[in-house]
Amino acid sequence: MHIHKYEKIWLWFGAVCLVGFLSIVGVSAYAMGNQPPSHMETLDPKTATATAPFDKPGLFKKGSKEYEAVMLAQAFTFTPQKLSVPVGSTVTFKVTSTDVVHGFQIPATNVNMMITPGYVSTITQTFTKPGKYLILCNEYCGTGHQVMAVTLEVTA
Amino acid sequence: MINEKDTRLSKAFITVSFIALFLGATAGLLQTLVRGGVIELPAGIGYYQLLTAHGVLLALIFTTYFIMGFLYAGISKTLGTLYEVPLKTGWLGFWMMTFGTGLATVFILLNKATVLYTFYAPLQASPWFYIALVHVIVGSWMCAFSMWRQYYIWKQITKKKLSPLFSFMAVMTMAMWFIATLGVAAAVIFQFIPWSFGWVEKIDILISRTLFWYFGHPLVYFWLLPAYMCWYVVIPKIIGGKIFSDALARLSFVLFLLFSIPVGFHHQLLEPGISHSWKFFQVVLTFMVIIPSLMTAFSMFAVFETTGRRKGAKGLLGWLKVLPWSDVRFFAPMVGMLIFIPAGAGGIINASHQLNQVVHNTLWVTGHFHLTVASSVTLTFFGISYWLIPYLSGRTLTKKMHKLGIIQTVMWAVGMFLMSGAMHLVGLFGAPRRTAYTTYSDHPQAAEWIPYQAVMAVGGTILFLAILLVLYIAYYLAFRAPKGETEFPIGEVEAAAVQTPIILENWKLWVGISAMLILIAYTLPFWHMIEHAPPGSQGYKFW
Amino acid sequence: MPQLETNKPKKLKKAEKEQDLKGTLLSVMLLGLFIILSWGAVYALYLSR
Ligand code: HEM
Ligand SMILES: [Cu+2]
Ligand SMILES: [Cu+2]
Repeated sequence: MHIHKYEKIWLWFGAVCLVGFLSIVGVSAYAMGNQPPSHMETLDPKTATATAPFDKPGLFKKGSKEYEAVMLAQAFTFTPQKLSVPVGSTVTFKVTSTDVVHGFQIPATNVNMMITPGYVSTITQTFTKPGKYLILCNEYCGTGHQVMAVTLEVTA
Repeated sequence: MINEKDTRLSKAFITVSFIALFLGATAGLLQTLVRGGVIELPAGIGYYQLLTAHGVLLALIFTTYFIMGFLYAGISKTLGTLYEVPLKTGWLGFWMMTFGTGLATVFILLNKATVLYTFYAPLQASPWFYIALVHVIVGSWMCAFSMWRQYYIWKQITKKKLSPLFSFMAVMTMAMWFIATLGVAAAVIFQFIPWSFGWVEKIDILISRTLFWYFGHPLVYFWLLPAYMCWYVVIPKIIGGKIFSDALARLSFVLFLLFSIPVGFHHQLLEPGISHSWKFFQVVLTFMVIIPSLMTAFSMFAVFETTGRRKGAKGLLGWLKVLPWSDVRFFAPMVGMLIFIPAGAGGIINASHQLNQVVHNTLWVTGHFHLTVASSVTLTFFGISYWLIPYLSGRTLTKKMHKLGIIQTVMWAVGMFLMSGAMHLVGLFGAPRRTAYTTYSDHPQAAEWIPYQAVMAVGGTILFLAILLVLYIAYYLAFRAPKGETEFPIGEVEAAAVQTPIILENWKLWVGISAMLILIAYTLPFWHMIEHAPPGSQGYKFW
Repeated sequence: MPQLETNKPKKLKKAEKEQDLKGTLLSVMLLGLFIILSWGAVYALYLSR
């Protein structure tokens, strides 16, 4: 099939751009570990609150400036409702839902994932700036969805 | 002239589509006013109820009905008057869909289906809402069968290997739609209906989401392809030019069929239970579906440039000036095309694997699809209406209506610039979508978002006024405009263009490859979901 | 772009086929640039977070 010379130039240009984008996100994902949250662990959503570690949700210190936040998402709040870590801390969030699908987002960071009942979602973030961060639900979960948020304080 | 019986079918579809547009836009206006903090809804109406109505009526009903009306008119134009079976099946489709639409609307208004248009489990609507959805889907299949039948009879009679470009594209669009809706139909029929009636207690959430998004991405191409049909086939005729290349136009539609379906994971990038390798694989396929859009961009500019040069335009960009800017049949779709540039760029960002973490479920996404479907596609549909409605009603598009249409388009562009622009920005700051007015207990971050949401309200108000204007124009063209003949503009192919290879119309081949790609992209991850499924979920009604 | 050469009728035919599409090339390249810039901007935001 005959294709105009300029169209060939354009399509090659476009293809190279797309390959470029894919290489950047691919290298970042596979060489630097920046994969989108894709945890495979499962549990029974009905008994989640009795299943470790979700029977004791809370913030746990795992090392110097390393924390694990075990959290429950339930209509319309997260447990625990207040978290506080010193600046420079790396926090791994481990979250599950006991009812419907929720979202888990910390604005102004890359923390953003879906919380599906029956699954555990995890994501890790280092907090380099002090401040009061919002942890909010960004997936519609019912009438109270717009109030579903807790705060994470990063202390100086 | 189109056969009277065929006009009735098209008119029926377009009428329902404009009613849905009005109702949906009213909900949209109220949403922006609520989020902007301008009004509070009276007790008894919920924000999410409105949002469900808005999503269902605009994304599903307005678009699908308009597309059916447009495709039927074009098929009748290019393949000849509808034969008995296709016509009857078309009406069957119309009534099934309309029964479903009515039922769904009633249950949304009764607040029995406030689950948004994506109806994610385990939020559980009334079973009648899901039954309504099945009617809309199966009704649309009837339309697909009817169009394919018309095409088949045409081929039998004429013995031609290549069908007219418009009908080829219509058949392709419906083929993609049919393959895609199998997923959502399976979810609704085998998962949601038994579960919502209480015949089974639990539902597998990840499987329902996967089946939904297997459909959800091709859904956006189902909106887009008819707009592309207008750009490829109709626009060249309107501007007094020729179709750039019949072969490339067909090739791009073939690529859409192949690559628009096996990519649903790019809507599930941030969820657990799907391995990142399968996500990345589908991201790569997603990027393949960008290629036909790049081809389309080139073809469109090429049509404009060759036409302009033939009219004597000089210089590198002189051809832009000689385009018929005051012809609304050109102007509205053209503005739609221009808006597709930022819309497409945003789409590439959304699909870029972990980059999705920046934008997922923020207002950025809402801003994005108000550029794609609610501007590029919608403005193109308005542009089509300006000649299609008088074509069907036996009236003419007057000078005054050209002017009003141009004002309408400009209002839409301005309103959308404000609304969608604010949505994009505030989304990057992290403001979530699908969320009623909230300050998150006076959190300072959320307070920063409020001014942007006020700009959204200003944009939304302009958009609503623009909707009223287009409804008036549609009414005028249907019932008041002077009688006369309006043409259905169908472009001809550039004389120098190469012969179209008949392999492009080999349905077995393309549908076969499409099925193969779907199997490759979905079989293993789907199998894994079933094998490693957690216990299912009961239903919840949290509204 | 092949230019018209009056002494070669064969080339003339080809020149007729290859329309002048410089403006088109420019337009799509600007479009490409826009895509790269917006993608880069959001990627930078991702890195900065
Ligand atoms: C008067 C014009 C319009 C206005 C003012 C408007 C406004 C809005 C607003 C404020 C939202 C939801 C924000 C949120 O997430 O909380 C929204 C969502 C949406 N709009 Fe529109 N819109 C308009 C036209 C359209 C059109 C023409 C379409 C499609 C053809 C459309 C499709 C959608 C869809 C699919 C959603 C998402 C619903 C969901 O998240 O479930 N809108 N719109
Ligand atoms: Cu929520
Ligand atoms: Cu998609």
